[in-house]
Amino acid sequence: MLIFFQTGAVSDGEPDIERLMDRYSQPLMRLCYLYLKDEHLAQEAVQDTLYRAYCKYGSFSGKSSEKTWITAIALNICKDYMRKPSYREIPMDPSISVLAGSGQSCDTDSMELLNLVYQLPDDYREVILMRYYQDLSVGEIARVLRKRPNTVSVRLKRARELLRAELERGDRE
Amino acid sequence: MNPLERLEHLQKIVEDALPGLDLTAEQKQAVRERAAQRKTPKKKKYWWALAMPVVTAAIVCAVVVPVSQRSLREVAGSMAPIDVTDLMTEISPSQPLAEQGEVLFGSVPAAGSSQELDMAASQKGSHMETAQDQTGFEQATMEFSLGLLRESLKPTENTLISPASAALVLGMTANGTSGNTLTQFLDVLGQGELSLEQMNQSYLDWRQRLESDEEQAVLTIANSIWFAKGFSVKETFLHTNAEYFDAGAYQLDFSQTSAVQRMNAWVSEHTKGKISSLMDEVDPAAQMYLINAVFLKMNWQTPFSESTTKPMEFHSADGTVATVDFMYGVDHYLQNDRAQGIKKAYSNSNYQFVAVLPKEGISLTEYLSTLTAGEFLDLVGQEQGVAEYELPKFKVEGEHRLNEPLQAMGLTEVFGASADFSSLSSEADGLYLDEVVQKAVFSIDETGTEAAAGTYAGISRMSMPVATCRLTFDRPFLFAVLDESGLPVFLGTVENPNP
Repeated sequence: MLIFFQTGAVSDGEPDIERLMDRYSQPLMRLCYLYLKDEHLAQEAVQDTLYRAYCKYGSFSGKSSEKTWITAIALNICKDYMRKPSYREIPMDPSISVLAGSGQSCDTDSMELLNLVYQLPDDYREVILMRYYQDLSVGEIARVLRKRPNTVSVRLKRARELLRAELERGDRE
Repeated sequence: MNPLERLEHLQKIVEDALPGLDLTAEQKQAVRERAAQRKTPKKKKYWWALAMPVVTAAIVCAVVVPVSQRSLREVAGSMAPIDVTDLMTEISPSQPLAEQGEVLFGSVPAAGSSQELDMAASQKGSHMETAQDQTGFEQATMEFSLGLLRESLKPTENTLISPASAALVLGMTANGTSGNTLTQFLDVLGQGELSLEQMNQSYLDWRQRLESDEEQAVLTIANSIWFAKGFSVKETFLHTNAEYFDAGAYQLDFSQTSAVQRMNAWVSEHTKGKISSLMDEVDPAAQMYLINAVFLKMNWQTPFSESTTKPMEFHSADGTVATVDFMYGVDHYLQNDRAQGIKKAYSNSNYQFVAVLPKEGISLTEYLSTLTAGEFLDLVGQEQGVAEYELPKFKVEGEHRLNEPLQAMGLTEVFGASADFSSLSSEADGLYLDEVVQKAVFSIDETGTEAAAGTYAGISRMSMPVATCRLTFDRPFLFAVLDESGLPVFLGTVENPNP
């Protein structure tokens, strides 16, 4: 599998906004979009994430990978956005296919799977995205979410079961 | 290919599906400009290695006991007492209780139970359901915090409470109550504006927001439930507290002397030894203990310089004068009609230390008696330039039995014979809240040795702004450690910096 984040990329201690943007802006944008379901809000979240990562770089201990660390920042920002009453007033994209130009190079089955992931409940969607999109381990996800690894494993299992059920239902129909 | 196997290729699927999704060039430029406006942050490893940290720790313990025959007669007249030994075990045989001292839910949860737990939580919809209640929760928690401080104050003595710790343990307890008992919990903790589920979700969000595991800024929160062997506990009570409070559940033989040692050891472990002995003994009638432990260890973003610390006089409310060491600092200035204060950042800038000095002519007791959540949040939320100030080094310890303060705040039924713990156990008759106890320690200083202090002085003065005000905290004042939303993790008063 291609790893778009540089796994274990602990910095040399000198934050570089250009490096952070080059490495993370697009994958973070996709992650935040799949999390928040709104392109413009995702853009705001990514800008905030990059800026916060740059400002907080001095506190990055290197105990986790840079990817895990910046993912945690992005996730917290997304959750902050979702807590705001105004978030509920935003008409969320009902499915990924409404994005202009999306899915053109994707086969139908893959697009169906992605849309099912997109429509998962929040807590299932986040673990699926972190595990399979960002390639984080269960332990890393647990660290980001501040949950026990067992909780993450169970949540992943439930999410996969839900996806399987939806895929089977789609096949029957 | 099995459809689910395609999950392994989700990264490529996402890239193919969303090829052009990125920040615009203008947005990237905006990020560059924001970054450029901020001085490049550096790693602070050497800086922090030399710093002496501020350490605080607090624990709260709530005890649920069946009303003894004697106390029942005192409280409820002719109500028949219950026989403790008759309490049945009602947890499903398919999920057997762990052996003595074994964890049921917690760091090593029972797999099957935890699965149900997660399913139930996911069905609730997580954060979305309570997003609109965040402001209400913050206001309510601030009211609770100030109310608890007011009711815990002892004239002319230092006071220290951890509102966060108290709220979390009471939140766990509330999940075991029903009827009017629950209503009183919701009134006291949430000002009657939040449902139990909204409260649970808000506490989960708050707890996750509070916790910090940065190298120079540690804040950990741990919850646990300990219940007597033979006491039946509703599974939903344990599940809810595991999911929202991450509370481990343990069964103990309370008749053994090792029981109190086990609980004290848990507290000590989660406060890094700062609270080593919470309980002297287990109440013979106790059926359950709900325990919270908070540990905070943070360095200042900019340490005080030891070279500028000097002895000065502190004037207590009772007229006594003591000579104590005062640190010199320059930080954000706070002010309104009734008080002035300062706000100083910790290395994790989500956390702030606040000291508030009532204006001349207003005693601290008078000030606190009328201080509202709104006034406090407004005061600490609006920085008005910077202030030079002298702040005494102090160490405050607090040990409070919170029964009376909580009763004064309206939480009465749970302490008496009419307490309704029907959500905790199917044999809830006679259960009531026996006591709520909190111990806390808090200390601040310049954070450094002499060698380190010199280094810190150089750094702290390099970006010193022009002061707009000068403050000397040489008479009783209020202090707090606040999270990013202004809610206090610790809250206290200093009447004597050198008790």
